[in-house]
Amino acid sequence: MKYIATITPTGAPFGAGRTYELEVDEAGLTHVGGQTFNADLQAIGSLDLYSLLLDHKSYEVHVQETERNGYRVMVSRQGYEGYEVRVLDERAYRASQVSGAMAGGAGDSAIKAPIPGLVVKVLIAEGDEVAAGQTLVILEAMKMENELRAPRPGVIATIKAKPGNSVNQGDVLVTLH
Amino acid sequence: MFKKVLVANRGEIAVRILRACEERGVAGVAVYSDADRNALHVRYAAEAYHIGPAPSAESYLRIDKIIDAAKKAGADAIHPGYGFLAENDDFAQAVIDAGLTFIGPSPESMRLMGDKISARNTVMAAGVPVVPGTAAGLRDEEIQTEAAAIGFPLLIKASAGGGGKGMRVVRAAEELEPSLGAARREAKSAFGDDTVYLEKLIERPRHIEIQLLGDMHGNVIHLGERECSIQRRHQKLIEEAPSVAVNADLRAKMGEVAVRAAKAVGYYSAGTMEFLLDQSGNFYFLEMNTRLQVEHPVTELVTGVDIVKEMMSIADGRRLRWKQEDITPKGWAIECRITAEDPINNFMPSGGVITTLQEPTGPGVRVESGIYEGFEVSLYYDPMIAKLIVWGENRAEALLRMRRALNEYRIGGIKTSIPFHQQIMNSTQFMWGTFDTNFLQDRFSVTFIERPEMELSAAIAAALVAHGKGQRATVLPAAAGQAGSAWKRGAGWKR
Repeated sequence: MKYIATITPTGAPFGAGRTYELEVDEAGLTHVGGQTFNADLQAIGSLDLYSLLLDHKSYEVHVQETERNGYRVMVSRQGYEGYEVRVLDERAYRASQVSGAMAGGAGDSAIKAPIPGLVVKVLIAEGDEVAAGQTLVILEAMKMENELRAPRPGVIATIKAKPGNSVNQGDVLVTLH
Repeated sequence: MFKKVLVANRGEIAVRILRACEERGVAGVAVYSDADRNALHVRYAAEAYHIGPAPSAESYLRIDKIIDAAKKAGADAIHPGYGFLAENDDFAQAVIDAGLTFIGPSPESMRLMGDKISARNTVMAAGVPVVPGTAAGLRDEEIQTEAAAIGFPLLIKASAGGGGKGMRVVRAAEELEPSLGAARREAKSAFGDDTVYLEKLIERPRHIEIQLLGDMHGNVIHLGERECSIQRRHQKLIEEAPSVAVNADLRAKMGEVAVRAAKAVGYYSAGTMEFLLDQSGNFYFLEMNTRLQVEHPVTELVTGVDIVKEMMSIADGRRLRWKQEDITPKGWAIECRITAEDPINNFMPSGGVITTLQEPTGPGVRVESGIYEGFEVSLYYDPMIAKLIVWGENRAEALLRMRRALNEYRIGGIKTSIPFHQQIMNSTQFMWGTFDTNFLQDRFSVTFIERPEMELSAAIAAALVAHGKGQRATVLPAAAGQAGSAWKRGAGWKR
C-alpha cells in the first residue's frame, strides 16, 4: 500500500509541513523515497505506545489518533520530538487534492490562540500575502506580549481577531490560504 | 513532634513537604482551589480541604481559609512551602495566634529581613558587605562627592524606579553630570519624582546564595553555597551546588558572615542569604529569603541534610543535630526547573493536558514533580511543573548525568523547558562554568534543532499505524470465524 504522510514538527516556531511518500510492502518493508527500511513496530502495553526498530535503531513512539487520518506522534531517542502527521492512502490523497482544489478551502490553515489572552495588535489585512514566520497578531497573555506568526507563506483569507478583544485558547484568529 | 501538618501550597513543593511528613510519620493535609481538585498534592495527601476558586488571591493567599482548613482537619502545624504566603509575616502570626505551629522562622525575623531597607541595615550592622551606594535624595553636589567615594562604574537609580526607567550606567567621572541630568528628567517624567541614588555597578556578577539552618537555641550553621546565575528575567532556571566560582576559603568566609547576620537577628528555621559575587571574588548582600527555596534539593544532595524534615524538627523546638564542622559538601548537584513554557517561542506559557509522561530515573537522579499523565496544567499558577535534580561525583559527571536524564524525560501534550535545558547542558560556556547573571540575556539563544531521522521515524510509525488500521478494517469482515489468524496478516504490524 502507498501512503502519503504530511508532517509538521510541533516544536518548530513556524512549521513547514513536509510530505513523505511511503510504501508498505507484503514483506513488511517500508519504502521511502527510494530507500528501503526494515521497520518493526510493536505495540507496548498501553494503547498508544510503540517500540519502533528502524533498521535496528530503537525508537519509542507515541501515536495518538487526534482526528480522522490525523495523528499526534512523539518520537523518543535521546530526547524527544513531537509531530502532527496526516496519513492518507494514495487514493484518498488524490481525492483530497481534487476536492481541495475545487472547494478552495481545504488548504487553509487556521492560526489559533495558543493561550487565553487579549488581542493587542493585528498586523495584517485580508488578502495580504505573508511570508512564513511573519508576525500576524500580537496577543497579550500573562502580562507578556506574544507574537503569533504565519506557519507558512500564504494569503490572509479571513481575520477573526480584533484589537482589544479577549480570546480563549483555541479560538481561530486568522485563516491563511 | 506534630501529629498532623497542613501544607499551605500546591504543586511539586506541596508533594515534597507531604513526603517529608510521610517519612516522619506525620499525617499530611493538602489544600486546593477549584482548579486543583485533581492535582497530585491532593491525591498524595492523607486529607485535603477545598479553600476557594482558582485565582490564588481567592484561595492559596487566603489566610483565613487556610487556618480554617487547619482547624477543621485538626492539624497542629502549617508548612507554607515557597511563594504564596511563605514570606508573609501576618500569616505566620495568624498561624501562631490560632494556636498552631508555623514551620518557618519567627514573624519578627520575617518582618526584619523581608523588607529590603531594614534587611540591608541589619546585615550591615552585623558586618556583612552590601553593594556600596548612597541614600536617596542627595543634591547634585553631594552626589559628585559620593560618586568619587564609591568609584566607577556606578549606577544612577530612580527612587521611585522600576523597569530600568531613570537608570543610567556611569563609567567615568566626566559622564556623571550629563547622566545625572538625563536620569532625573526620565524619572520625573516616568514617576513624577526625580529623586535618585547611586549604587556601585557590579559587572558580570554571579548570583551565589548561602543556605542557613538555625534552631531556637541560638545555633546557626550554613550548608554551603548554591550557584544560581542562570536566570531569565530574574527568574532562576538552573542551580548548582557547589559553585565553580567558590573555593573552600570563600565558602568559609561567605558562610561565616551569613551565619553572623542570622545570629544577630536570632534567626531560626531554614533561610537563604543571596549575594552578588563579582569577578574578583568580592561578595555583596542582595537579600534574604526567610523560607524554603525552590532549589533546596541541590544542597540536600551534596550535604545529605533533609532541609524540610529539619525545618519540622526546628519548629518542634529541637536542637540542630550538626555543628558547622560536620557539614562537608560531597560531589556536585545540578537542578533544572521544568516549566510549562515554550523555549523556542520566547517562553510562551503552554497549558493543557499532559498526554504522556515518562520521568527519568536511575543512578543519581531525583525528580520533584507536581504532574502526572492526564493532569491538566492550568495557566492560573506558576509555570514550574517539576524539577529535575542530579548528583554526580564531580561537576563533569553531574553534567553528563543531567544530559542523560533530560534525554529520558518525556512530557507530551504541552511545551516544556526541556529543550532549553538540553541546549544549555551542551553549551561550552556552561560546561566551562564561565557564566554570570547576564549569560542568558547576552550570550545564549535557544534554537529549534531539526532532527530529520526523528521526523522520518514519526512518518513511518504513523503510516504503519494507519496501515494496520486499514488491514484490520478490510480483513475483519471477510475473516469472521477465523479472526485469530487474520491479525497476523498486517505486514510489519503486530499487536
